[in-house]
Amino acid sequence: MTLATTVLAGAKDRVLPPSIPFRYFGAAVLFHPGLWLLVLIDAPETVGFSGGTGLSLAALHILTLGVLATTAMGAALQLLPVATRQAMPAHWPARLGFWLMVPGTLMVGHGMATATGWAMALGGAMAATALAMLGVLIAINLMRARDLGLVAAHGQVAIFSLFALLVLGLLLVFNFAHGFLPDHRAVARAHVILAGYGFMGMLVAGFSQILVPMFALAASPDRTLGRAGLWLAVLALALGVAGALGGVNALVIAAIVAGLAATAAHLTAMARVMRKRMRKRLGLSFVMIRVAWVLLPLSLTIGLLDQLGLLGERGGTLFVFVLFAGWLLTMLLGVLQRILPFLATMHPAGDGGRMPTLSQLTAEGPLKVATICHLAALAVSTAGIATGQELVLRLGASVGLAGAIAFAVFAAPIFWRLMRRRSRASNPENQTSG
Amino acid sequence: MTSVKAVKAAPVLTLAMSGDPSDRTESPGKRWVEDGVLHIDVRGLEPPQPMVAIMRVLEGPEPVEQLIAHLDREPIYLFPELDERGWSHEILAREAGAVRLAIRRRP
Repeated sequence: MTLATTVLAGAKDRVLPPSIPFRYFGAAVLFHPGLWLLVLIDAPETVGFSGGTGLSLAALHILTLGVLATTAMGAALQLLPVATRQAMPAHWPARLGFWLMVPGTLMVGHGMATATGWAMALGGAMAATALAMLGVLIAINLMRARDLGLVAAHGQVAIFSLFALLVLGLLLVFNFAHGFLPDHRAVARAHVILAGYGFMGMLVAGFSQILVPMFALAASPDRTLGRAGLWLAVLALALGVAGALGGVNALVIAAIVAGLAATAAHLTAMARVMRKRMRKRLGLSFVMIRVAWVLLPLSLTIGLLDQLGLLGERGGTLFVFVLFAGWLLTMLLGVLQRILPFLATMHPAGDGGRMPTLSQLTAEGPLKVATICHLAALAVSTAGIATGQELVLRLGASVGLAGAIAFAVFAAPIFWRLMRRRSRASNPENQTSG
Repeated sequence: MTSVKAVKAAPVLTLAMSGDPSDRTESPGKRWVEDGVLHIDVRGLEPPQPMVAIMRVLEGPEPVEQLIAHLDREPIYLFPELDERGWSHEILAREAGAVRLAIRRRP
């Protein structure tokens, strides 16, 4: 038995079989070009998007469900058992969740693009079931954790937000067919707040407490700032959801101010981590993560200006774009490009058992193209939405599509290596004694 | 005969790592020398501090050829870092709640 397999055998309660997290990461990598393709096709509608079914709504959910949520699911399933020192209670919900999540996302996208009620309802129910199963797995894992107070607290807020956003999301889907909600847009606003800042935002903030110092090799973030950021974020979420559902503008504005204060606490803690880091060269992943840290307060500022009526009719679209395609997508792509090779190194290829190094699994060329294209796409697309110029948005989406394909080219060898390992593991005759 | 010599957690290590004179924080983990080999005990530290404390010793200004790390579990996310930076690792002992890991510089 090789050292690598010995290590993994000893830690098998905490390290999932690679096929589980990597199938979610693979789905995210494949949905990513789909997002930009839909924006490219539907640019004339997207620049003036104000709700309702269509390709723009489909693109938004390909991003949120297909890219962001699947990345979060893969990362949570892989990282949480290691961080909490508690094994996941079972593996089958994670496997089943994938087979509900991916077809469900495709069906939701199809239903929203074509205004087909049954497809939206069925796909929405499938994706919601998958996310709910993940939520239960995470909740059980967090309850069993004896320490990790701050990370667990962020996780609990994320899970609470997840269940609330799923209820609102299903109400919205069924409302397209039956029209029973008194104010569809109010529920949609609350759904966006819970999805962006509640579920995804709190997961990102929680995992950042571990991942950022781990990647940068630095001391853990300041706990006082972390707790302040957490409670301010909870206040912001409560005010924002109440304000959106009740149609009380002042509450939403107060929520955004509290959100900006929470952001200041979180980013100050992250800045201190970065100042005291050991690793000086952080690579392209931290270019993305740093840009994401700028885009988080920018999204809130755009939301505030929109709420004050200073951004005109395209303010809402701009806010949603900067929140999901800006902050969250940039952050998760930054994390994904770091953890894909990192997690793959923990699983030997089966061709002698030796673990590859991080640099052997990181294709710098495609990664540079992906990073440059993503950042350029964000800048150009934001300009296109802000000015209402569909050609500019098309240009941005084209560059984004090129970046997403480059990211897939970066990720493909990593997936190939893991698939080869799986194939060799299932056929012992091919294994060497190495 | 076993010789044990306690080593004070040295702020100078952290200072050299960060390159910032304002960062005079002590690196976590109790350290001592036993039979001429440096040991570090990072049990009880929250992730990712065991990994950070070990890397601080290995990549510090004082040359280290071998380190014995005492952990409360296998540091599975440390292994890729060690491989990348030219260190080999071997688990010497594994018990419930205690792992002893030898880390050596590759020739």
